[in-house]
Amino acid sequence: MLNFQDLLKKTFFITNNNFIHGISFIVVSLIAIHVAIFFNFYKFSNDWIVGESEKTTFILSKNGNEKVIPDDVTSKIIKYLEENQESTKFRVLDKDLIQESLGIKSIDDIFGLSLPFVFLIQTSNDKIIDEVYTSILKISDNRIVEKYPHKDQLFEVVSLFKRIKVIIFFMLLVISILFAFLVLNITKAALISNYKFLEMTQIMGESSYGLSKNISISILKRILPGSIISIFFVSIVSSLLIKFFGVNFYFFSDNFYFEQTLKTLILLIIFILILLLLLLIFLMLYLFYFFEKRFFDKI
Amino acid sequence: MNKTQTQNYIFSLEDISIEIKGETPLKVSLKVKKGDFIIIKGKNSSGKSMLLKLFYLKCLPSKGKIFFGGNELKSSSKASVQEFRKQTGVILQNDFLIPFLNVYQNIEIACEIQRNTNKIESRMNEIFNWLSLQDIKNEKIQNLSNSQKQKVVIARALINNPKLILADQPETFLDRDFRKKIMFLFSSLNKLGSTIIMTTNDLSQFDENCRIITLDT
Repeated sequence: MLNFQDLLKKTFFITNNNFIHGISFIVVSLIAIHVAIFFNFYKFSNDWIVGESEKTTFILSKNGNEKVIPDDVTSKIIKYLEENQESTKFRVLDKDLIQESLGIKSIDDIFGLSLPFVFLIQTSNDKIIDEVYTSILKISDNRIVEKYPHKDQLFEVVSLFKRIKVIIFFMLLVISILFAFLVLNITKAALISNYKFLEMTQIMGESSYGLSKNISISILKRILPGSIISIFFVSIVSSLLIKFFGVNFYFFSDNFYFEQTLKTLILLIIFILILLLLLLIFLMLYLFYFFEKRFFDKI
Repeated sequence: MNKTQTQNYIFSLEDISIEIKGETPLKVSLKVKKGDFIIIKGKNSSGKSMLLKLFYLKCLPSKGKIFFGGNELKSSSKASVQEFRKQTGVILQNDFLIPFLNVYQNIEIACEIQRNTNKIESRMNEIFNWLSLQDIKNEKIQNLSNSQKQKVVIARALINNPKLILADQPETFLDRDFRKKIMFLFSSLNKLGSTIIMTTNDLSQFDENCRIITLDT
């Protein structure tokens, strides 16, 4: 028995089948890459902001009469931090690293500059930071201790990240709308060129709902192969981008890249399902309106 | 007209007025009983096809009422209109056939759309024999002549055994012998209970039982 939906599929877009596969692959890839970038940038920036906002830099300066901070003071501080490692993570910035980042390594060799003792702690609890500060003051025999929460310096970076996210989201929205219009125009052209056939089916008693449902599904079936290929394509491209240009915040996780790729793939599948569902609803509403308007001829 | 009066007719048009470009070329009141054979004749562009369009409910009149089985059809009663269309066999001038499908498949579409779940094979063979389509049933439409296409259009309209057959000059493209055959077929279907309304310019083939409506505009 002849399947009416298959017939619609054959009748519609009979000549430009490959064109629709190709264009749906390109446009869905464009949309999907924006989703992948948005998702990964969102995750990257969020992780970075959360990590940075929990960090506080402590700077212990030597007394005026000292050439360098005595080793026993720094050892006591390190020992104290190691003892409290369960509640706070810490990292001591060694002399070489500070000199290198400040670009004064060679100068120090000549003039014998002595640097303060600098370390970072990472915790989300403000009380712990205060406790550490008080303890360090005691341990260091009331030397000058300065603390700089990184949170205070993140405002501008957060605002920049937000702007980037809005731009990516806006681009995603624009391409999605353009895609919807493209599909709509292809559908319109197909409706006009097959109008006689559709009118015949209406005269035979086919309902506007039945026609709109069947045609929408036929169109989606045309778009689906390109969309599926584009998901895998974008997923591979995004994982390669992360591999080459991304930052791994989870140093101890060996599965970071695999998990990231899998998460991106799952996200893209969910996104494409939602996109196609929205497109189906949009097409069905449009086609239903189209056929209802032509249910009776105007005389 | 009250509901009991209209129920006696399968179809009735009351004070219909069809306006084209602000003019009023056609005013009709007509009652169709079950088993009627109505022929609408008139000059070219006299509104025959337009009137037939009203019968297969592709358009609603700007003035007047249409009743089907005692119920008034309005633009809001689309479900009843659809049901009516499914029970009607329509033959139009220059009707659309799908060129890349064969004869059998083109006729099958009507079964699919009109949800004919019965076994169609025997009915299909019957119609192929009536219309001499047996030899070309697997031929694609694009390879057929105009007269063969017209036969396929007629076959498609008759496949679901419709109670009401509406035909707009079904004799178009057919040769003299086949016109006779088609008119005989319509007469036979009418005698078996189908109601037939058709437009034509060729009245030579019809008997006196037909109701003839002449459109003078």
